[in-house]
Amino acid sequence: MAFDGQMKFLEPSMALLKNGATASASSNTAAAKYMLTMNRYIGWTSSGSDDTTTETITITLPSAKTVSSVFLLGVNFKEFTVKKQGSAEFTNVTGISGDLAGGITETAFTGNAAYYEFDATSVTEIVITATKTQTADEEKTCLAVLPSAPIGTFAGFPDLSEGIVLDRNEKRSQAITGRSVISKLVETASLRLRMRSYPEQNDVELIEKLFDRDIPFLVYPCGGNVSHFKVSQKGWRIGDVYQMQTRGNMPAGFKDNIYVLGVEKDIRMEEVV
Amino acid sequence: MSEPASIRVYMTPLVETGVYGETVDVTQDVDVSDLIKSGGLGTLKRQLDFGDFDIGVYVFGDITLKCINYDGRFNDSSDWRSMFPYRRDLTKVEIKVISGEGVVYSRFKGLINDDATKQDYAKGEASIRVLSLDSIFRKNNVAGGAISNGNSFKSAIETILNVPEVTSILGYDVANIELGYNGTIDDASVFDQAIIKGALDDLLLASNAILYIDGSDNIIVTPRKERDTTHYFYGNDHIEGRDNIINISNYNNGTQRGFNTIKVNETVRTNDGWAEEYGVREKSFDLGFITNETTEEEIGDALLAEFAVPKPELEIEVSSFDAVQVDLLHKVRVDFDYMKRPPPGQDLLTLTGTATTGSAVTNTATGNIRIRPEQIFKVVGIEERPRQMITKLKLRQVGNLTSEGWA
Repeated sequence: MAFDGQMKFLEPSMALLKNGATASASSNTAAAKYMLTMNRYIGWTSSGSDDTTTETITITLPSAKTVSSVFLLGVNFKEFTVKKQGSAEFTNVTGISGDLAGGITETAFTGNAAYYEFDATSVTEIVITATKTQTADEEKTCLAVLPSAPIGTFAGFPDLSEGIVLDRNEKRSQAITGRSVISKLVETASLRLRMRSYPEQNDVELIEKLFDRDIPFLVYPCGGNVSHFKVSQKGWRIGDVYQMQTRGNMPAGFKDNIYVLGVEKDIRMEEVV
Repeated sequence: MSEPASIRVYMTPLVETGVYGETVDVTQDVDVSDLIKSGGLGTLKRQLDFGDFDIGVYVFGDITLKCINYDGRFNDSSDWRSMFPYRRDLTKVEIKVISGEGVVYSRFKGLINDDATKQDYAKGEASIRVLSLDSIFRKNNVAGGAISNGNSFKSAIETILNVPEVTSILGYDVANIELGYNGTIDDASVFDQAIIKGALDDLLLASNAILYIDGSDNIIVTPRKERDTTHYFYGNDHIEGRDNIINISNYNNGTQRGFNTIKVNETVRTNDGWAEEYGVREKSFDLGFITNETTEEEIGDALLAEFAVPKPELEIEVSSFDAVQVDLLHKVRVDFDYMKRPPPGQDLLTLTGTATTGSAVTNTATGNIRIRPEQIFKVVGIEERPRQMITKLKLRQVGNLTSEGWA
């Protein structure tokens, strides 16, 4: 069964380079570490590979962690597996297309991002083997590997009418000619989430839990469920996952101040380092 | 949920002459954080030199606490409601930063100065001036005859510091006194009844040394050489995702603090090479306790060696929690590259080592400042803004030669 919930929230990646995780690869191992950041512009690419060559990537977590989900972002693999230390399979795996039998094994993968959930398990290593690419005999690429664990999934549909706001954080100065000089910088994401007469207890508690957190969390707007969308756009794609934190206050009220009606909430989140 | 990160302010008043309270939370380490107005905790500042265009010995930061005083507890001891049983003046104040993991860092220690403390009825506020611990130097004199002609600079500094008025507040150990140049005093009468701070300023300048108070309240006198501890800061969308720099400002090549001509009294010493390169940049000092020309020359030479070569300087702003363990003269390495964006037509950055020569396109680089991680800086100033939990570190590249200061 494919994912059928809404927006998901997860623990931050448990394999970040800055926290001591390491990575190696069967080719171009020096670039393997770039899969361990949230940077969307740099990752790993194989060297001298083709569809007859199996590349192996090994991600070593800084310490054993309880992992129950993993993102693979910016991949061009067609045929690949994802296992944990000792070549052990993840169990009860669900992917974007539905349940997978026998661990994370893909033979005809399309798309450039993958998300899997599985039974929680202690992980010290993530081992990825990739053989074929979607366009035959290309160098294999992978932008990021994010092992994580879900914190919760919205059951309902909070108001996100402002959308996922993407900002290029440009520097702008107006010259004496009247024309502007604009220098675009790194893209960041933010959102404003409102609950209007909201009836879902689970979702209210989830938002409160995020508000209480001192450490960031991953926001996965599509939740792995793209069946909602008629048109695909940035911010809501399979591979769009952001490390965020709540910002500002969070009102706690009820619709028209009538306690038996749904709750009113308003919270902002933005991407953080 | 663990206790969130916070800034706490503690007071320990005197209970009698020279005796501080010992009952925790009653007369010792009384937590008054809830009674400090939002925005009532100013900037905490420590730096080695007076300003961008000068050289000096040490600037100690004093602060003003704006306290909520509706019930008069911050009034002086004449008010029966006062929290100060003996006197408000000289009450110890300590400001601590508590990280999200519950680790406590002491960031400022000082003494209340009643001279500059004021109360406002309408606002219900007491503005309490707190001088840093070294303010004890500003409140006491050098005893007449304590310093004699022929004393070395080191023995004079030791004599000045090793007095009960100082040692009752700060830790003193002769092993913590080290100078860059140890000359001989010709006319010690200059120091008789001089304010300790003024006497130290002159002696430290002549010795090419600085004085600071370490985290354990010990007096440290040392040359301006960097200490062993190194801290690392990263920025500008760091390629390994380690960003912890909020901003870089006031980056300059250090010319403004490059003095290639030093005049001590009437004796002039010049570094001809740098004077030719940058033009004569002179700094002059009047040191009344030196009359020997050779000593004046040696002092000038020591200061020239320290300041003739301009060294790049900059200020970096970081979260206070990333800077809690940074202290003056610690080394800092900054990895702040130009911001790289993929070249037109590419989604990903071109990566050195992976890219193919002749076909790969170089990345777009934006930004006007680049600091290489090989460059070694030392901390010459720390400015903390507790309200924003931001610390500004003033850095200068280490070394006295252009070839020095690189890993």
